[in-house]
Amino acid sequence: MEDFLQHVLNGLNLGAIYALIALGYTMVYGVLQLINFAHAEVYMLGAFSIYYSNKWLHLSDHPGWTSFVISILIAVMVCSLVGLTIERLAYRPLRGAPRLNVLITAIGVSLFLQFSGQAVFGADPKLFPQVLQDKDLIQFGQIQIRSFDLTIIGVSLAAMALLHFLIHHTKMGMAIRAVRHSRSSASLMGINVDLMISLVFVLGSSLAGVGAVLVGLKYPKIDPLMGMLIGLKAFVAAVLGGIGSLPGAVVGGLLMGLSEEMVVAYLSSTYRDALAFGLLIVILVFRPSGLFGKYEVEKV
Amino acid sequence: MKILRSALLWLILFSLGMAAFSQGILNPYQQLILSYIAINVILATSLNLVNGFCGQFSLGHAGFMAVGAYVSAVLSLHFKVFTGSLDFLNFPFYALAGGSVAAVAGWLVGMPSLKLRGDYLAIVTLGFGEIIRVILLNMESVGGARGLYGVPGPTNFFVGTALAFFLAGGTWLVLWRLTQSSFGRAFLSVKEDEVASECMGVNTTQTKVFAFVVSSFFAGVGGSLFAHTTNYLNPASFQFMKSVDVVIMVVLGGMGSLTGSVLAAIFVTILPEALRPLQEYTGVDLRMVIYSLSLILLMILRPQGLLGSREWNSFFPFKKRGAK
Amino acid sequence: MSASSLLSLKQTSIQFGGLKVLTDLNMEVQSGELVGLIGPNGAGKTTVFNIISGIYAPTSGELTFRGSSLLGKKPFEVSREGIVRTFQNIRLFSTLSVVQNIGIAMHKAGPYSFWSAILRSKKYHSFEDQFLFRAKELLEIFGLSHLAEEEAGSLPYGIQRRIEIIRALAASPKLLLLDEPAAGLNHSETEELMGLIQKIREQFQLSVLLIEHDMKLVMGICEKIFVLDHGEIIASGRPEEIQENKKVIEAYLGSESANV
Repeated sequence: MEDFLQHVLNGLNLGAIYALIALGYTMVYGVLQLINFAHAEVYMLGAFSIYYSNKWLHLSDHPGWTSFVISILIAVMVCSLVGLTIERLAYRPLRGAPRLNVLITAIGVSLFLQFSGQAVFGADPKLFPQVLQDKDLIQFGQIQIRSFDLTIIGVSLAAMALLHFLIHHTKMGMAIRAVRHSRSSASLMGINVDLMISLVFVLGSSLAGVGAVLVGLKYPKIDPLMGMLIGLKAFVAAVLGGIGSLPGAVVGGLLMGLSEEMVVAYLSSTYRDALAFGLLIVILVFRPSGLFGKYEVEKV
Repeated sequence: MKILRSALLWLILFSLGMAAFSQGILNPYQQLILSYIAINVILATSLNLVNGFCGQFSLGHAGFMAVGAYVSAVLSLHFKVFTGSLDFLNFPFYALAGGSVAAVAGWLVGMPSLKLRGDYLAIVTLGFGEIIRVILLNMESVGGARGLYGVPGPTNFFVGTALAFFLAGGTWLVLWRLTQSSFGRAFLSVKEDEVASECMGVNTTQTKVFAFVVSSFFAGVGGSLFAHTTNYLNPASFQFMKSVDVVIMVVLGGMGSLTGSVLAAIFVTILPEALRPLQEYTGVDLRMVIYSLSLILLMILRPQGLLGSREWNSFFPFKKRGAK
Repeated sequence: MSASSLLSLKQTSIQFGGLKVLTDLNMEVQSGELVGLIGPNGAGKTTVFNIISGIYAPTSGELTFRGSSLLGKKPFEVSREGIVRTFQNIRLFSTLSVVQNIGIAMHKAGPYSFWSAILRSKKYHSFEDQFLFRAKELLEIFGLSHLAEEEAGSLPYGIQRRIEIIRALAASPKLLLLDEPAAGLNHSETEELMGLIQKIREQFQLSVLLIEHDMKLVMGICEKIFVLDHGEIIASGRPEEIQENKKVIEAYLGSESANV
């Protein structure tokens, strides 16, 4: 039982991170109907931005909340910039092009960032700077709650709450929702659609930046291909929740994290990566619109 | 039936001719490259059927290739139909078997996912490719992560090259005739407008699954050829990147042009060999950087690829016959 | 229900979410008839077509064609039963040639097997010949033979409309559904189209159900007219009855007026 609770805790941790990244996928999908493959690489670049900025700022010399917050801010900024640039250079020229072309471009961007990352940063893993120290907080029998666990869950929740506020309680959020509903009518209502799409990329990428710092703390090995697998799983989480739906992405992420932890704990760790896709196929067979999604009928 | 015989005859003559040509002029290394070209032609043209003609998007070709490769390799290790001087006849048989199992896998993957929109297929096939790889990694009976050694292949280069071209030519023949038939028109209609296609009486789901199964079959055949050419299999050979390689060939050549896929397969196979000196000089794997960048630039500047949907015969207008 | 009833809708309704789009529709098309379906914008006319052609499933009610139910049938099955439609916003396979467009409508369940296609058997050749012949024949009726090899999407609007009808005819329908065939056509093109619709009905022994805003066309050629407003049939009958119907006049004058 104690074991089980420990796994639940670990699963929630993992799930919170999947949820953060899944939100980026689902938001972009919502406005562009595009699987933004490059999102995973935005996350990877977020992690590397901390690695390199630490060389200048020496944040890991003074671990603590200040360093942690500065890291988050740097990662958020770098990721937003990368997200914006990708959108501007690669996706915007293809507005109105067939969806397949945009999808191929997204794959191209993702691969380009992975492999030029290998060329620039080197293919060998790097150690993520420990800008915050991990402490044992509570110990019930065999259950261990560490400060990182609480940080990860707490920071993710805060980021999601902020996103929720921005989307549902600000004018900008209303404009984004309008663009999601219909790009053409939004533009007729005087909304700058391109600007809103850029904003969506900024928001999604920022969450990826937050995720990058959190993952970096918990699993400090980083390399240029680190985004691929976590990105795919986060995408599956978004589909599981219902692509395009924000609460869906959060719930999907948590479910994904929990089930992965359980598979590793009780079945076999070799199958952890196959799980996500197995799960995906099951969802698509039984409920293609996901848990929270609406199945859209094409207008004729 | 007379037509079949003449097509088969041409196919055999073609493969023997290519083999004799390569035997006469090329060194063993170049002959090996030629076999790789044949493998890539099979993979690219078959993927084009789904990605180009039907407008769906599969990212799991390497998975089906792996199925074909392993089935074919295991058969060749344990099971021989022809012996002695007819030994070479075993390989087309293994290819057929590998392709058939891959086709069944294609059916299992295609049935649930092809009912949905195209971009879901991309993720499902990607996932399928990874699942196959994980399963192979965990199967000790086929070597697991160590790989499968000593897969028999044709005993001499002449037979090897002839086999490669026989399979590549056969793939071309089948896909060409299929795309030039009423089925080919149905494929294109699915890509153009699924609703309209369905309202004209085309069972679009069935059509997509059909194309996907045929495509998987040939991916399996390509995998089989790969197994008997390299004589060694490893799950790592069938990673996501392999699927991406094939996608690049299809996009580069033109989605909807078999001719384009053949040209692109040749180009993409030779390019890394040509880049090798540069690679050694810089010490960085620039191949994927170049590929991915060209993918992005192609989509922005020339989304139809090199040939668009044009085929070789549109460059020779004198032989215009039939629907095209 | 009379013996010659071809298509009938009985108490057919559909709703999307909470929104009732069509309520208790009762319609009947006899075989050989040319029937019009009119109504103000947003009345639900195209939804009727979408239900008949199997794109939407009605929430309740019956839908029968030649005595057997169409409920639960997919669009391709409905099409193979003999109900073929055109679209309000032309949906030709625009990058394919006109001939290929026609060929797709003749594909159905596959006119020959996979093996026939690969081996180029007699069956393959005979169908391919027959298909080209038929395409030529259909194009000739519409006087468009010279456009056979053109890319469908590059042709002028009016011609695309006609090619969409040709494509539908190639699927050998018993009931042809035309969704605003005269939309965007000028006066003389509309006249020509009226003649064509009547001509093909005789020649192919079809029944036709058409949605149209052009009252001159509807009143000129239809034998029976249904008027749809806010998802309900408010009137049906011969053209002259419809013209005098109070409810119809109200529906049209009350909302956006068509050229009555």
